[in-house]
Amino acid sequence: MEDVNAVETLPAGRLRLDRAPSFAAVAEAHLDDVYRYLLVLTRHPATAEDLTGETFERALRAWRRFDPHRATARTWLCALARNAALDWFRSEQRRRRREERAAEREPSVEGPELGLSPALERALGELSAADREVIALRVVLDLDANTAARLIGISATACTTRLNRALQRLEERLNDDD
Amino acid sequence: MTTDEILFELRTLPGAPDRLRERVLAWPEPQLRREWTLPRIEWRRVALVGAPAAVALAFGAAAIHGLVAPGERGTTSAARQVQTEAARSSGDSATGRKLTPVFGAATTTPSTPQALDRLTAPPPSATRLNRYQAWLRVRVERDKLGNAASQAMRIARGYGGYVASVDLNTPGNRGRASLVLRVPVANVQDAVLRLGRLGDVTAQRVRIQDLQRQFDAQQRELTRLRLSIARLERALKNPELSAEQRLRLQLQLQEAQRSLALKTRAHGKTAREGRLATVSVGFFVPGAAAATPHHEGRLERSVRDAGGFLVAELAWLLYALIVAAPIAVLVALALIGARAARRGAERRLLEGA
Repeated sequence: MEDVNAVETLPAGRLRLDRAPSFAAVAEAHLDDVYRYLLVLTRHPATAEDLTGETFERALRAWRRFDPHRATARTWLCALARNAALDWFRSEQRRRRREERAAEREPSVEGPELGLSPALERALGELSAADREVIALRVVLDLDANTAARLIGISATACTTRLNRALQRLEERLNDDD
Repeated sequence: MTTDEILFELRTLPGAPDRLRERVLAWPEPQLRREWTLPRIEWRRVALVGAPAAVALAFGAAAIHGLVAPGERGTTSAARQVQTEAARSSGDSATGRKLTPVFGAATTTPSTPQALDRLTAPPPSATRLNRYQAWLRVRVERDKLGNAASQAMRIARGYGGYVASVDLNTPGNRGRASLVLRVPVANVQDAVLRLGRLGDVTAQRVRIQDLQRQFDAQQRELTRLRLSIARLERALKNPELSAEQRLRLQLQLQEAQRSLALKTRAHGKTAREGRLATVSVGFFVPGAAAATPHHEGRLERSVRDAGGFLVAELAWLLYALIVAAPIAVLVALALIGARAARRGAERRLLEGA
């Protein structure tokens, strides 16, 4: 299998690939990352699965435009996944507004099972999607501050600050539960 | 639960389901990336390479322009210098008049200072009043310049005329003398011929304008004014005039007398112009004619033309910057604003979710 992550070890601005990786190799290497990112962001395994599939469909269609000299495959896929998630959040927001207008509130359902401890899942659910996103990128995917900040569209400092606050809130929620 | 424990647990999140993996990996491999698309623009590299290239291009264009153009420009410049010299030597600079051809003027101005075969001086009209103006450019020996100027003045005075102005300049080879002489029209033909004999005439010009019509019109106007004054003076002697009528007539009389004085002066001036011809003589020594026009070398002309071209390029660049800068700033602000708005909307969406 090709080492599609090798490019990420090079210093920024000096990224070079002798030849572009195959789509299958990239999908195999980063499918879990994209799924985990979307899972933390949306907190719905089914939604994360759908959005992951949609992300890779978009990647397949846009594969000719992918330039490994500009960004790593994982960063590129995360950007596509983020756009797919934003679209989903927008449609969810519209759906909620429609439901609020019709006063037909959806019956409360049990919290989704992400594969984490119930307390952590509950605490994670109390965070905003923005906080969950930075946790997913920096903790779950272990992206560096610059890459994560570029994906979110904020500065690296703001990204680090947001991560610290998100983890602090998460810890507070967990301690409150205890 | 500590932060380390939270981080550890978060990193143990399960991966994608197998069915998703199988579905994605079953897709056919897409075509290879960008086989014919345009290369990506690296702005930093473009700036590093493009800026020196643009400067080199500007200098290259200026150099080519300097090498190609100076042949034509040199000719034009030399011709212009000869004309300027001719005008200066003929005394025009002293009188402040330009050498503009007019109807009825006889002009003989060679482009190079060679002696004319024959000096011509058209005779003035014997029956009509004329404004007679003549310009001569005369080449004299270096050591005879002062003597020629003195003789020219003596000739003018000998014919009953006078010297209006003299400009004698003899530093080294750049000797020049410009004289403006007033000579009675009746003797101007002889005077011009004698002035021409002081050296070699290289350029000559004579202009004759009719003044008789103007002189006659002024004469009629003077007669009319005198009659009008006499009539007003007679009317003022009437003892039955009211104070207001008297005052009005007195004012009219004063106005007519003032006008008569002005017209009389103008009439006298026209008569003087008709009596005295103006002869402008420009003496120069041969060395001055050769030395004065500074003929640039080819290299000098090339450098000058290239410099001028560069200045023009800079002017255009400045103009383009002045025009384009506000537009570029507006576009940049619009793009930054749109991006900030989009980022803000995304942030609000995620914080509210």
